[in-house]
Amino acid sequence: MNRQDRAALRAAASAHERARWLASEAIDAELSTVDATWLSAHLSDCQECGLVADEYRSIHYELRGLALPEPPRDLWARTAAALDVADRSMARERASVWRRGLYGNRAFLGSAAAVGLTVIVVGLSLFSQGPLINLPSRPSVTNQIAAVSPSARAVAEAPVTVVDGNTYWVAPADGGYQIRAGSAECTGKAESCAVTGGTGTVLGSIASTSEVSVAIAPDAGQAAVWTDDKIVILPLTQTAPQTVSIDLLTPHPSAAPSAAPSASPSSAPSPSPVATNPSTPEATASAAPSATAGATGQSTPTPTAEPTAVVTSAPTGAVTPAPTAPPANNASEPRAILDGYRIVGRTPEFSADGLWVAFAARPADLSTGPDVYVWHAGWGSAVAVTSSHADAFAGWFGSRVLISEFATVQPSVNETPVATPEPTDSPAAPTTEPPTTEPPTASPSTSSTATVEAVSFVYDPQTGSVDRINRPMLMPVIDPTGRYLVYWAGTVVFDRSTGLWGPGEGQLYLDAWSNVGISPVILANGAAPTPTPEATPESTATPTETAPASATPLDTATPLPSIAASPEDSAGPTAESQPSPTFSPAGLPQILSVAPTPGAGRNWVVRWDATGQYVAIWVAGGGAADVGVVTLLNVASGDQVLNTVGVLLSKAARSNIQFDAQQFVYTSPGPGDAGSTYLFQLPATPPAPPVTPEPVSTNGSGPDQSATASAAPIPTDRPGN
Amino acid sequence: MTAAADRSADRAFIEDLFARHHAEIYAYLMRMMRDADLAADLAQDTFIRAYRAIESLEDRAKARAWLYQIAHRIALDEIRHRRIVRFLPLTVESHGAAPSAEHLAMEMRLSGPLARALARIPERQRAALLLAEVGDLTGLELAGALGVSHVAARALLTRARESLRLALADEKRQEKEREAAADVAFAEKTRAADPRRRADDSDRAGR
Repeated sequence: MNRQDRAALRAAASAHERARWLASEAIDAELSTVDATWLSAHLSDCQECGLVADEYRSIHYELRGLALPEPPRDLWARTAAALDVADRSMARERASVWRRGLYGNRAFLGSAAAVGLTVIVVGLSLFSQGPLINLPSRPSVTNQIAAVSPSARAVAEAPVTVVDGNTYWVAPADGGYQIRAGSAECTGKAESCAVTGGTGTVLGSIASTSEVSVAIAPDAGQAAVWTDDKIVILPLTQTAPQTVSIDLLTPHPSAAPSAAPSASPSSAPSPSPVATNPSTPEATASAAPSATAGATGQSTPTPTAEPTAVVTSAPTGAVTPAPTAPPANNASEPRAILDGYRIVGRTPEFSADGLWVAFAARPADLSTGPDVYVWHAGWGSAVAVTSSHADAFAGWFGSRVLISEFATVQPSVNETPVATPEPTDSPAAPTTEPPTTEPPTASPSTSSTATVEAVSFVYDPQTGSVDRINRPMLMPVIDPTGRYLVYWAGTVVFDRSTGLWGPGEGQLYLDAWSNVGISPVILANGAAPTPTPEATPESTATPTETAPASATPLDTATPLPSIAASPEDSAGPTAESQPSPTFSPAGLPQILSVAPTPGAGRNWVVRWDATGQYVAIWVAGGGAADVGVVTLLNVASGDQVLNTVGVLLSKAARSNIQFDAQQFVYTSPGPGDAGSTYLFQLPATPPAPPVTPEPVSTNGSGPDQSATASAAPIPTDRPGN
Repeated sequence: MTAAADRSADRAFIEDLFARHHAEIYAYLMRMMRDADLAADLAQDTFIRAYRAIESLEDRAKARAWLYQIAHRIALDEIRHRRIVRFLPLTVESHGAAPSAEHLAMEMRLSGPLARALARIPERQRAALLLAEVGDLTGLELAGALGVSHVAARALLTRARESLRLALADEKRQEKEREAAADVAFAEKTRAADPRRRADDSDRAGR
């Protein structure tokens, strides 16, 4: 082989290598015109290189088609725990550096300055907003909620809600935001859906320089829009979209319903009814109800299951808040329904018929804890239906409102007079027992002090009737068919930084609604002590019942005669107020094992599908308020409760989870504020059995029991809830 | 902002990163290590290390590539530490223990010719392919994650494709041979079980 031949061979080999290099490059990026032309020419002449290029492409597609292995469900829990350890470790390292600096170098100045600033921040945090139940109120991210801010205007629109395939979202616009409606485009990959920026029909506009949150009514006829200190109703229409200047609106106090919350002495808010020391608000936990489970694990709630006249603060909705006032203004105009208050806990939600809105709010100056408010179409302003300042809006159940309250539970009225609970420095008041198959029963003989526990109520805003759920629980969420409910039970704690009670250690439980008895509530007073944050120059030392200067429902409330009765009144009739347990599937209650565990420091959201077969549980990851993990469970098939360990889906997601017909809709945490929205097709399941009777009362506050057995389905909440 | 506020923001940031990227980081580590438990451990380590080193992240918009870089280094460290130079054959356990059902299921899922071929190529090439093809990292991101120059990353990727192509061809050839051998064995077994065949054979033997 001569020199020329060798050169030619090297050139040929080099050409083949170059071709393969370029064939590989072409997969990752677009080739230059020169390279592309050269490669094309080479491949047309070199069959072997052509095959190699084809194989590269084939490998490329095969690799991208590899199934994604599913991470273990406990990965977040493990990582979070490890992050906590890392936090402590780093804190020790910083402290070490600080100490070194104290004795000799200039680091001390910087550290001392940092400490000083920290104190200021902590001091300010005493007045900051804190969730009663640690649900994020901002950004608002529960169902039908979107939070946007001027800083987020560059990001793609994320769906607010999806109803019957229609997508609603909030888009940034000049000087504010627009509520738009349209169809999301779903791509083939993982059913990912997105709203194209700038598309859709404008239904309404919001002029505001501050961050706003939006909840849209099921019929998309109106939206609740709120800021840090105001809640506004904005009618939505495609034909003539309106603009609300949210900062300029004020409520119409003159049109407040005459049936306002009771201000009678018996139901007046009790700033610190138990704790004698405002700085140590926790009541001694000494009267935790002792549960007595049936031998079979199933039980029939008996009339004697509630032996004690548990003295709790009833929602003052026990009085009838039937509106008598004429509409405040033109219903087609935007209106502020509450001013000087901020949303706490679960975000406002419309009833299924879109006529009511319910939410919990506290004064913007944080002078008291939160109460639950309702607003009805035509009302000038929202009305507080509780006055305990320790209440949370848990959701809608048909046309009724579920309310949770942190209440001081006194020992039996037949026992020794209640001793004032000893203030304690203990951060937790472990009073809420895990559920049993029977309603927990207090132990009168051992009761000597009051305790604080989470109690829940079913409140009918149309009739004013209130029923107490005979089992300590927080944030019950009842499936729309009325068969099952999911609730949280565990200890409750008081957060000094926010001045709010909240969940401590506990679990979520699945139970049959018929297993949970209810009793009419006509008692009042005894709310959980909700002391104000520690005294500072900016705050008053004690909670006040005086509403802020701005017009609020409390300003216009017309006190109604209290119907609070003696404890005996509730102890007697409850004997006949237990539900008939015609629907008692075996194996309930069950702990819903989801990771992370909801409770202290971990917000959660529970959503049922319309059939009551599926439940989705979102639990915050502990970092960004609306980022966490969603777990989709198929908990029931007909009357049969399935193994709730079976998980259909477990994904990192934002909290705006919802069901839309046969689809579960969730949004992944994407870059910035935008994530991909996914539609998860629910597996076909047997049709739900006939609706079972819900717990009823027979004292007139609930439907007639005999009629309930064949009652029509309870009006369902909005689709997806 | 105070140091405490900084840490709080960092914590929130890292948790947000976890929510967004833990699945793909885990998948990457799973494919690198082929051990579900180990991949989970390393994924956890990735986020912890990221949290501790968060100040080294200059541009938070590039956090994803940065996470992959950490995960890649952790994986290579682990491979070196455990002296797992190659993915282990299916019949060998990585920890010397009996295979768990989960492990076996994972092996079955990943034991196609492509996965086996992927297991045979050098880990750096494998990492480059996974990062580019599955992780969808751009050239610059890939270079950052691998800790090499852009040109070196491209070269590594090309070599990885060529290695995988050859390994895949070999795997497919071996699979065909195994199938052919299985066919022969099946035919033999069928023949042995067929009474007419056995009778014919006996007749032949009798003659």
